[in-house]
Amino acid sequence: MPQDVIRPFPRLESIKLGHVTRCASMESNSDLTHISYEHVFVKVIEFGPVTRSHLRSLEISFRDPFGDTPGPDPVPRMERLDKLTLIYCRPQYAAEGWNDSIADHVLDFCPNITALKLSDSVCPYFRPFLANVSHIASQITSLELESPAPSSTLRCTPTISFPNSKTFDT
Amino acid sequence: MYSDDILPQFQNLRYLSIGDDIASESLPSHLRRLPLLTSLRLGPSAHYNLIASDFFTLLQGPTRHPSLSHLIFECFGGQSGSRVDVGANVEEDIEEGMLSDGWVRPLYAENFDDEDVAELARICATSGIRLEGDATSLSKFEEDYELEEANRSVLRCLQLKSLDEISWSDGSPYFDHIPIDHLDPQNLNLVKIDLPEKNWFRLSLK
Repeated sequence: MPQDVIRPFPRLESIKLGHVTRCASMESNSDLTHISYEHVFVKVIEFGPVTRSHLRSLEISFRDPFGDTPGPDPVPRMERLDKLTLIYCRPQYAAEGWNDSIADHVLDFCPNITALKLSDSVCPYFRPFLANVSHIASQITSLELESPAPSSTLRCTPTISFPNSKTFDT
Repeated sequence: MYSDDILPQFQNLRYLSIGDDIASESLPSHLRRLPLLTSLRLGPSAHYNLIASDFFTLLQGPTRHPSLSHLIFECFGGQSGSRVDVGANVEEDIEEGMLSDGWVRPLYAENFDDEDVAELARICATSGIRLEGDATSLSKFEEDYELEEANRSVLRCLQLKSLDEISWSDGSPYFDHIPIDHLDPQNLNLVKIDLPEKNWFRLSLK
């Protein structure tokens, strides 16, 4: 379980998880302010309430902008989240772009972000997404629209595995 | 399809970073509608659609952006690699060999070339805009790239007993520091000049 892995690091402030499905077991790490993870979809996974309340920065890497899986209902809000990063690890053949449904998925849970970063190495046409976040545009003070070289985004495969874990995909 | 026309809706932006395929040639006019922008980063190849003369109007004169004070210009993507040894065997395609050893030539754009980069640095210095990124080190990088290319060309000439690698097709010298008049391809001698300030050397022929 992730908790077993991070227990020796009680002061951990930042963690990069690899491919995950849920993270509620990170509850006792109250110092965590940044979490990075990968998921097939643009999915807000379930953190414990303590983690949620401390988290300032969240990075989600995804491969499919349309799909969805059952998740926490209602989606827990992270009122103190300041920075959201979305990285589309698009297969070369994928035609799906940055549609407004991505914005619908994620922006409800982080109403107070001031920094937004979008990344796509294949087709960085972010306009449809950005047009759909006009209601929070005035609170954004930092915007990063990136298109890194493809070789640097070959990362949407599990980077950390947790054998015997019920909370991580491997 | 570019995304920069949507930028003006982010009225309170202080920092903007954009990469390749984001900016159109109209970027300067969109940025003027972001009055609080203080820091702008242009990532690899982000300059590709820009027209240097238009971009410069953001940085100076009556159309200067009101708050932009920090420019991170990292568009060109040059990269230094490993240096050839004096005794090394140099392959036929020198540029390909350099690429294999990690050397990457900077990528200029049709409307934003090396002379524009020099002008950019001058304008930023005059306007009090802090300039960072590879735009500040491009001339030194070009110098190093050319030195490595020349050293490999000299070694290749020695291997082949030929001056082809250091001559243009009209017979003029390819590198300024390697005069080819009076050189006998069958009797070439290596000249090595140490460059302690670079911890490197310059090769030539006599």
